[in-house]
Amino acid sequence: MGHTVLVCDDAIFMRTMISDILTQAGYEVVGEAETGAQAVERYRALKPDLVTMDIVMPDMGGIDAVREICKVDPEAKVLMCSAMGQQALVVEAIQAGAKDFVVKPFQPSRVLEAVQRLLS
Amino acid sequence: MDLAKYAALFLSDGREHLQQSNALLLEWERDPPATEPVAGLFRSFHTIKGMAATMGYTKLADLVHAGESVLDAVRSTGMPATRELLELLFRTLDAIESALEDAAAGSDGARLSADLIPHLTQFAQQVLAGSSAPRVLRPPAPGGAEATPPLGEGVSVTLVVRRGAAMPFARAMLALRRIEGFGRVSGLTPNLAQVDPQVFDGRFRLLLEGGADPGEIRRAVLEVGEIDVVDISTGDPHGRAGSRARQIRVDLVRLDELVNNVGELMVARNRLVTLAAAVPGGELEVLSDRISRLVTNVHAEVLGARMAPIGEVFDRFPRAVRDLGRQLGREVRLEVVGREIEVDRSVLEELGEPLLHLVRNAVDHGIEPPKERRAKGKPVEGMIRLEATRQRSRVVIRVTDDGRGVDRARVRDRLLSQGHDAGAMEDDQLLKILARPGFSLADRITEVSGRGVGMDAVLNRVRALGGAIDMHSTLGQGTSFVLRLPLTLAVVQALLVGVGRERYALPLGFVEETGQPDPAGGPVPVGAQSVSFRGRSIPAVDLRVLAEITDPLRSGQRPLVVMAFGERRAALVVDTLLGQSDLVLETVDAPRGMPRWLNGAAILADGVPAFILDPTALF
Repeated sequence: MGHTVLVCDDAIFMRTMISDILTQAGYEVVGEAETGAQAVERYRALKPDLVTMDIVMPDMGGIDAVREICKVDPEAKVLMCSAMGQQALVVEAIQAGAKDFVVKPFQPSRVLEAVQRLLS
Repeated sequence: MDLAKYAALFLSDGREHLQQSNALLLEWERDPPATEPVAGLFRSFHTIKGMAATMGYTKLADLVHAGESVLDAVRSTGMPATRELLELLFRTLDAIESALEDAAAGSDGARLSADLIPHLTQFAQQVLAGSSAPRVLRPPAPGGAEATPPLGEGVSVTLVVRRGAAMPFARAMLALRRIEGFGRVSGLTPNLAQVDPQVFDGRFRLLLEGGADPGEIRRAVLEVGEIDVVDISTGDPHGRAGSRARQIRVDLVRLDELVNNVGELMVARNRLVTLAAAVPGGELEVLSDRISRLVTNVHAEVLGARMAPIGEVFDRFPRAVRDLGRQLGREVRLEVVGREIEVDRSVLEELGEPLLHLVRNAVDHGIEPPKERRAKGKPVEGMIRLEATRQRSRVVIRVTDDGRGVDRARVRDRLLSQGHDAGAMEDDQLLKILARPGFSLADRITEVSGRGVGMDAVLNRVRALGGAIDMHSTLGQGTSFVLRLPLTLAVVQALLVGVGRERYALPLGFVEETGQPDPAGGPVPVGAQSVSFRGRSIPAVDLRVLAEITDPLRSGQRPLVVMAFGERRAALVVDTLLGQSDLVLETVDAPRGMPRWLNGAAILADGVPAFILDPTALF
């Protein structure tokens, strides 16, 4: 364990929830970001093993952030966090380089399953 | 071994290869230096030859062999497509097609012209003799978009996203990206770039080149998560990703039988659910729930088994358009989109003719002669686009051309000269006028069209299928027809109406709108021959009179169902509107004495049958 994670979401509630799920499972949340621009900047600085990325965020959305991050590091492991009904956006994110996705409302087990898949 | 029982299979396989060959030849015509079409043609010829020889159809086999020798010569010398060569090959394909039918019908070689085989053989020799000529053929582009994988080198991969997984389409895209890491992917079916994510059923297949280890591919795909089935097979000789993998052929008659039985099962299920609902909380309810789900699944699966890609119809058209274009002196290119969309066979079989009509019309009346196009500043090559998309439980087919469009002024003149009133010329009215039996804009009658039969036949066929058709036309820019059809005929979308204590179903394809008659006219008397609706008087039929209902009428205004037949509208007066429903058709033989305005019957959810009206017989 001990993998590092960067959590990106514009809602504190979501960031807290995701951080809790991951922390309780033994992952280390090394940073949070509220905007896409912040996500890119923190990814560069922190080089986390995994990023959870909300799709809709102010100041550069999640999809553009994925694209930017993958430019820096094509192997970046970005997990998209999507609301129901955003399939088209998720597909776009996958094309931009996202490696997996989970759909809100989150079930902790689903989130952890996806995280484990990506980090294995 | 008795080979006769394989004749049908031979025929359907052979036709498939011929269709593919026609497509390849057209592709080659567009890109003469390409080598891939020749390789594909050679493979198809080779397969047909092998099948014919196995069946003992020696004359057919000889013909195909002669064609194959030309292709082999072309392939080995690198000769590009020339007009002469293309004509010869098109002619050969036609000859093979009729020889194929003849052979399967038991008269091998009946219509084979004596000169074709010697001609082919001679041509092949000439090609080989001239082989000192420099190679002009472009070698296959490695990883190029059209490159067909060489024989036996692909791995066919079939994937099924777990049932109930969130966003199956996105999951499929993840898996696809993973697989693309192993090598070049081709033959994606359905084509995920075009599929409607909302209706994607989670199943897709593809062909992967590059010789990756199947075990590794499987592992990688399963790592994507929520993927249930990964089927990997090597060496599909047809290069069509896994289309042969794990399939059996079933006689359509048996399938129809199955559909009928399952249809009845659906009816019984509906009855059971209604009965169980009367005893809530009991074991019956649980059981009925379970049976209901299972039957629904079986119904969907069985209907699914009857589905076939619409390409089976679309693929006939490129060749037809080419031949027609040459005959009429037009340069036309047909673009086909969405050939992987699946439609029930019953619909598919009915679709070919009306579509062919529209496509022919587009070539003959739509696309202008090259000179005229040049003068108008349009590309000399006209474009006809045939596109299928899926919208919920319907398939939408668009036939669009970039030709001259319908000249409304001429339609008006023609109408006036025939003593008709020419009203507004909105698209929908225009379509209705064009669909008038006997109405034609053509000054000349060609072999192709212009006899004034056609649009009405198309319209009626589409209606009979429970579909609708729209037309949009802009002068100088082209015409577009939009056909909306049900994916299956086993289920009919209908409007339920009531009179007295009886219920009737009206196929939704005919229903234009429902509403109340204009209040000014007062309540519509029973048996009224016309009603006033939206300020216009339209002919009416009272279902009460038709069905001989004598129950007392409740007071108040009775609603109308306004139906459209071509340009005519007519209203059916009913007691009550009961809403829309998907009906499972009962195939009943018409009992003696059944009124001709009835089309059949369906059992409704409460177990009571309802008659289905045939609106065309009403007015």
